Amino acid sequence: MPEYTDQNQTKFSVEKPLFEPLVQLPEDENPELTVKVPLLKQKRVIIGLIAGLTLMVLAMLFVVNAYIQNSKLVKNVQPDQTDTASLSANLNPLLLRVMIAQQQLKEADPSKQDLVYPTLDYDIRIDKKTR
Amino acid sequence: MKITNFAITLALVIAFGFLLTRLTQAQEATDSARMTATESAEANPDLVFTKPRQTKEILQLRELYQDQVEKYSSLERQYLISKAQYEKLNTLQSLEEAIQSSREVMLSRTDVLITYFELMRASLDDTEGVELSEKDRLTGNMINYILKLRAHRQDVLNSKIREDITARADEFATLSAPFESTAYQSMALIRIGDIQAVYDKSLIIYKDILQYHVDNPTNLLRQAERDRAYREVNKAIEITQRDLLTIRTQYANQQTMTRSSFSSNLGKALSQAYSGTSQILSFLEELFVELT
Repeated sequence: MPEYTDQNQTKFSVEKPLFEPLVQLPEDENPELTVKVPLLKQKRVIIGLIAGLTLMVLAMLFVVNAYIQNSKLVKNVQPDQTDTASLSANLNPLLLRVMIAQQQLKEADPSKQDLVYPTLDYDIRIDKKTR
Repeated sequence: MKITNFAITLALVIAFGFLLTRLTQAQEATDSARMTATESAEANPDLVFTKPRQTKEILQLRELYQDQVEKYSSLERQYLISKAQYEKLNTLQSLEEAIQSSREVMLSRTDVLITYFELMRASLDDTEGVELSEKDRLTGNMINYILKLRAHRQDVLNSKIREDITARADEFATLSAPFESTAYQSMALIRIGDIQAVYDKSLIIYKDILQYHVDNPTNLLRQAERDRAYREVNKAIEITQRDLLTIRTQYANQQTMTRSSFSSNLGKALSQAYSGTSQILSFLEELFVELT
């Protein structure tokens, strides 16, 4: 083993030879002792798996939620369709006419302030009236 | 990383598929609703509620009127300031500003009134239940005012000096004298027409309900109930008819109408007719739902 420890303390480290051949370390006699990180414990793989699983769970939740909402929508729509049909079939159109007339009457409320004559200055002038 | 990519792609595909399905469903629902509405409208126009006075022309005029009123308010403020300044300073500069601002506000006032009468004419034209001769008389008056206002506007545009502006102001005082009365008469006619139209409809519905009851007889006990209900409906109809007649008489007796005479004389009678018609419709609903 070459001796690198320079005893001469007047020399600086930068002055040390740069291109000296690299020292070959002796080969490990027992290769089994080298630590091998298993695939599942590698950082990147773990992050990837977590992200993937989270997305999968989210997607599943989204699909389940969509399914529930869809079934609700169908449930809500069905009575509406029945109602629409019943307006012309089960519910007599006479009742519908009464309801529409009531709606029209609401629009005819005389207390509504619509189309009132505009409040303007009807006497715009600089000088006083001449007549 | 391959697993991550796969998961993202899968999630995106699912989300896209879901969105597409929902969009299609929404479109189908809208189409179906639209078709139902159109079909029922075509089958019987009485089965569709349409707000009165919502034609394209009326809506456009309303929008224009709002804009013009806003513009007028701003110009009126400027006019009042410049007039006050002229009265205080009495300089040539302040006089010039007062003349210009009064000219501007006079033009704006004319625009507001022209649009108001156009809007009122279109609204009256689109109102049912109005006596035709009265409608024609008021429409004729309003068209006449519009023409006079247009001519007045042109005169104001041509007026450049102080004396001209004063002359236009005097002219306008004479010109605008009958405006308010015509406006309130038209307004009254529209309100009467609206209530009259619903009242007329309620009479037709009542007649149809009576016919329906004839076609669908019931037991004696129920029939006695029906008869008592008919008496009440008839009474309500009679009272409302009387109220509407009173309104028409009051309307005819008023040669000129102002805001205060409109509210004090016609307002009360209109409210009574409105309540009466509302009562008739409530009775009709009850008569159909409870006694059929």
